[in-house]
Amino acid sequence: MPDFLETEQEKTVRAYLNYFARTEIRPRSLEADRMQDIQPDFYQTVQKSGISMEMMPRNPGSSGKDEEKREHTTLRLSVLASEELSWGDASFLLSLPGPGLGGPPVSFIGTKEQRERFFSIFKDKEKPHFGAYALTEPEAGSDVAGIKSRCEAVPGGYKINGTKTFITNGSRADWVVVFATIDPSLGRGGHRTFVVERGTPGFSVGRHHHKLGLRANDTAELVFSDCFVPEENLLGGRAHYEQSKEGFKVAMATFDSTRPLVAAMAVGIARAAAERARELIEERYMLGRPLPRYRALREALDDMDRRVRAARLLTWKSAFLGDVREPQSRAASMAKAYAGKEAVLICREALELTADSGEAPDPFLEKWFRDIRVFDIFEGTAQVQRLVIARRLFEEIGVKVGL
Amino acid sequence: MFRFDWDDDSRAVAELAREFGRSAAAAEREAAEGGAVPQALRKQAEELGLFDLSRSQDQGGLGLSALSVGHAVTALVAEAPTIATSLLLPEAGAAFGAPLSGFFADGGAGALGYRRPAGVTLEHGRVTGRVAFTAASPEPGEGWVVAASAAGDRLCRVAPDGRELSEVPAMGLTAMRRVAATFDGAVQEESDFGAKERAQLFLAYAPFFHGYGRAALHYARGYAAERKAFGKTIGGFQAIGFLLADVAMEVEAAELLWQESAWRAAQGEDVFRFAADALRTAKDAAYFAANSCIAVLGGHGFVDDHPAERWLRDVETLSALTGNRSALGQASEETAQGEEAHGVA
Repeated sequence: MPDFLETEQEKTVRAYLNYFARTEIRPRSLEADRMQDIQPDFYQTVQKSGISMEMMPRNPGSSGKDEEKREHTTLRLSVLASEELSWGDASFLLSLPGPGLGGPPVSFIGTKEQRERFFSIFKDKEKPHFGAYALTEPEAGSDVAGIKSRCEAVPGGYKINGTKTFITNGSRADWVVVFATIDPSLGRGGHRTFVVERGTPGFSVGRHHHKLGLRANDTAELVFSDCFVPEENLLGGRAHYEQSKEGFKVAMATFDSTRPLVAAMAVGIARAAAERARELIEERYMLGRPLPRYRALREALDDMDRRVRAARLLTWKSAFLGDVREPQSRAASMAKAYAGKEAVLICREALELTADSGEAPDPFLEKWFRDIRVFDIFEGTAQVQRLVIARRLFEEIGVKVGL
Repeated sequence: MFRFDWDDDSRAVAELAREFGRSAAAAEREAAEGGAVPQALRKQAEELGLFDLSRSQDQGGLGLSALSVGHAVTALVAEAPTIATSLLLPEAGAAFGAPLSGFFADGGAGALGYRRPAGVTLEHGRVTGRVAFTAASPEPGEGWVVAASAAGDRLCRVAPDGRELSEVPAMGLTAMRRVAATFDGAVQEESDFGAKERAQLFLAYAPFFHGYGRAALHYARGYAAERKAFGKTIGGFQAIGFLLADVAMEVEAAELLWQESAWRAAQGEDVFRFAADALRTAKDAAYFAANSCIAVLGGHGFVDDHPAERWLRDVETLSALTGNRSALGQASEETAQGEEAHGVA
């Protein structure tokens, strides 16, 4: 039976993260946006708090049989965390130490040795460490199967050549999960997944991107030029790819688990904008009259709340399906597409509703208006999400329509 | 922790409803054109217990929760929308545990009472007044009407001789009796009908819209999977695929809003505003789905060779019977502000 009971664990997670977002993130948010960077004192605070991107989903199946029997809650807790921290500032969430989007592929197909090796750095309590995920290329964004970065088998490992772009935390990452192809003519079957460590000869950071929003978060171009990657950094090992053509599936499985998180981030920003708009309107318009007398405003604010709730529920459902190991790519895409679409509209409406003549625009609302735009783009554009949803709809009746 | 799966009992009841819907689907057109659900189907539904889903076990019903009932209603309506709605909508009183009688009329002032006069009033143990448009089963027995009184809205049981019904033409739900009801009779039983009951009513209505939304989505998908244009099935064009994806999202979002509100209502929370929001969202989703279904079918959607045009008519008629969109938005808005809002022009 559907259940919406908030457990003590959820309440605690939510309350703690909201407190952290309110007291540690929001006060730094505008300055970090202006500076396009997060000051080091934040990372010291984070280290003390124990908050990290390790809240991102891992592959619980790797933890043993007892774990398998228990219903997992990782993804559900992660979406709660994502919403709360993004309510503070999504740039800060994306900049939290941890494996980031690189975590899921290492978890999903990494060998035990690889998981231990690559995740062990995050136990360091003295210094923040980061992972990253490099799939997108200048000429292969939505068309993931069309990546052109090449990997060539050489004695002892592989040589990678190519350029990756729009890589979150790319310039600060200790290691990056990199997708490359052994032969573009093989399409998806040619994909291989590597972990490339910082300092590897031939691996360098290209330009930093200057963005419309999420400016405090590092987004970089990564360049691989005859970059030698040892055999032991091929995720899952060579045998894994000989048995199945998993490289592309890894990329897709990563999206299935990260899209709910991105949707939750959009929900957090939309909620922040809706709340801020309500506060400002109540401040400016009360004037001795109850707000309902301004009916159009009241309806607009209520409607924002309704859409935030709907987006949150779609997000929760996709997270639930992920936790109980049900097919979730359609639900994940629905959550991402709906939350992205509605959040973009809500942030714009919040700015519009509060834009009085003679009043300076609210800097938070302006920032969220800029930040939110990418939520309809990254982790799969709005169009890609609709492609996924439509394909799944037709697959349900056993039809492939060629979308 | 939040979850979205169904227990075995709810699944079984929904499956039963779905099976009945599938068997009834072939008679949809006949029912709509003939102005009534075939008697054999009505009897079958009765034997299956589809009218007794909400009724308590003491009263011989299944005693299912509002969530489970809604799940079953959605499943049934998704298979045979016109017949299912015609059978079950007149039983809306079941949402409050009222014994079923096949007649329920809302003539109360409700949350919107300060905006429109009550259709029916209760004074000195008698109800008088008129409800201009409501649903009724073919031979309704004792009916339930919401009437405004000095003590607020009351749910009143009225004997058949205390009312007169006259048929009202409407463009949709033509397999169901759509009537105007004029009351002048003694009340046999009455109870409160406040925000809580009205929220239950909203939550009882919403699954009908989900069912229509799902039916239209599935029909459009099936058509798009077979219909060819420009050398391939039209589902293979993004213009069609994306439209279906958007419909699927809106229907799903509406269903989840309803589920959450119904769950919160079952926990005893005040969900009036959430329930109004859920019903409003469900209506929008159903309209979007039915309208998009016609768009996918093109000219074929505009003619009655396919059910799409009927479903569009049905959805709008159902919407009129259950409170229009702006009224629900208004209810939501003003409830949030409490009493202070009343009297605001």
